[in-house]
Amino acid sequence: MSNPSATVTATKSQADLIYEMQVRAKRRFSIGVAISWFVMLAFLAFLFSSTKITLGSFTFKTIHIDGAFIRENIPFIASGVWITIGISALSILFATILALLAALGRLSKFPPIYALCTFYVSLIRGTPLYLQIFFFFLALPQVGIILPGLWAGVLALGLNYGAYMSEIFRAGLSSVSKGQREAALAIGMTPGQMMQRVVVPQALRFAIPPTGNEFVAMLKDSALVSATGFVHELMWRATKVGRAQFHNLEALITAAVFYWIMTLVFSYFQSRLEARMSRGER
Amino acid sequence: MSPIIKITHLDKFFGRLQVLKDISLEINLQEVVCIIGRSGAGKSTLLRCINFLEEPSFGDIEVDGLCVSGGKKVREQRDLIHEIRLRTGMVFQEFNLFPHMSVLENVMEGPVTVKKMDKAAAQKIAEMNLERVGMIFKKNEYPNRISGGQKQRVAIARALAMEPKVMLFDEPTSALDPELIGEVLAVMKSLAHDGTTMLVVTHEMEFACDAANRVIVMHEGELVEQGTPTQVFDHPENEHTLALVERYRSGKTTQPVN
Repeated sequence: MSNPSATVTATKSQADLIYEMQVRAKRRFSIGVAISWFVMLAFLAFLFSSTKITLGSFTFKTIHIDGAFIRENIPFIASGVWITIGISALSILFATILALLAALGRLSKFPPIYALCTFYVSLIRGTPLYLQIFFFFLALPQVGIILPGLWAGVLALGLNYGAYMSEIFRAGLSSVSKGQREAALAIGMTPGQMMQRVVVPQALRFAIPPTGNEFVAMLKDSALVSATGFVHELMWRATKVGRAQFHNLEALITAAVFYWIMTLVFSYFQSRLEARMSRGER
Repeated sequence: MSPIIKITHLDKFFGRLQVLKDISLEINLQEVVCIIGRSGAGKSTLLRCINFLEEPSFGDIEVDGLCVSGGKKVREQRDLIHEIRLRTGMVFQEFNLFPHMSVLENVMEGPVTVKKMDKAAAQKIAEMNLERVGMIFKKNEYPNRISGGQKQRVAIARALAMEPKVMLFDEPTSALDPELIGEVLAVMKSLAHDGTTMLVVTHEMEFACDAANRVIVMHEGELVEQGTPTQVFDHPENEHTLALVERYRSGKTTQPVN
């Protein structure tokens, strides 16, 4: 009896065998991780499954959640997903523009501009995001500026993330070597052309993957905007129905699942982007 | 005929360290001048002062009739410096190709962005210059996909595309693997042959010997000797030149050159 796989194995070189072993080991590890994840997920589900357990004379139930409540309210909560994504997208756009300006400003040799940028970053990083959101929503009306909750939120999130992201952009700008700048100047570019054509494109390429990361973080921080009470995003909806019917447990779990799924989806795209950028034309 | 580059009494300080000491030098049109000397002799600094990548501390630099002075505020002579950069092409040791642009785009960048040429015309010029350095076959590649020697040839084409009056080479082969040096030197020799005015900082004595009309020797910030390759290599008068040449000669016996 001939065994085809045996003859194939016999012709394989040692390098092939070692490579296959490494591939198998990697795959085994991935499978192990996936199974463990599944077990942990199942355990979490079990915790909230209101299962009755009897150990000898001792009987207890795991946590009970009201499925009917969730089914009833899931459309209401879910419709906040798009608002959450919308707020995050607007804010990240605003933050990106601010961050780029602040990072460029820190290259300025004109003291007021440099000072303005460091001042902004210091002020924003030195105060809580929660406070900033309330400031725009609650404190500004006192001086006659009344912003709708959504815009107060976007303004606060944008300003806040802009300050943090300016550090990313600054690192991006300094990742472009001196030689690149010199080459641009030597062919006769003005400093402005040099920034626009040579430095910023390369800095952006460096900064795009971490910006994706910031977006994923912002998806979750956007929940703070619900505190204004006027932005009907995911968190606001969950607390509203939860409080009204004293079903906070179910409502928050539902919102948490939505946040988690969003984060997973965007993290996936973000890591794909990162992989693509890293093998780009560097 | 007046010289294309005229440097008078140039001094350059880095902090308290004087790296160029009272350099005076003239380069004529169609001349190929090689600057040799040990590392740290100030060769590159001298070259970089010409297009103001380094700011000279004292002295005057005249390029194609445009005169700038060391020690003056850059802002005051910004337009002159810009004009000088338009008339000089520079090739760097580290190539400094723009990594986010293809080979063709690298060469088109100067004509399009600086000279505001339309893309079709710029592409024609770029292709002509890529042809000249033998790199047209890689025009759509990105810099990370070509070898060091090829990168340097593209960098030469990028400088040539601006149609400069004089080409400045700052150790163009020093960052290259030995087997890649030849192709770059061959391109430079063909430029020299075509009558391009070239000022070349180099450690390649062979190239200086073959291609230069004049060789300049620098030592510790001073210009210690200059003359034809024959004068400098066969009858050096300065002790530092002698030391350089000796080292080159002893290398020559063990490494035959083709």
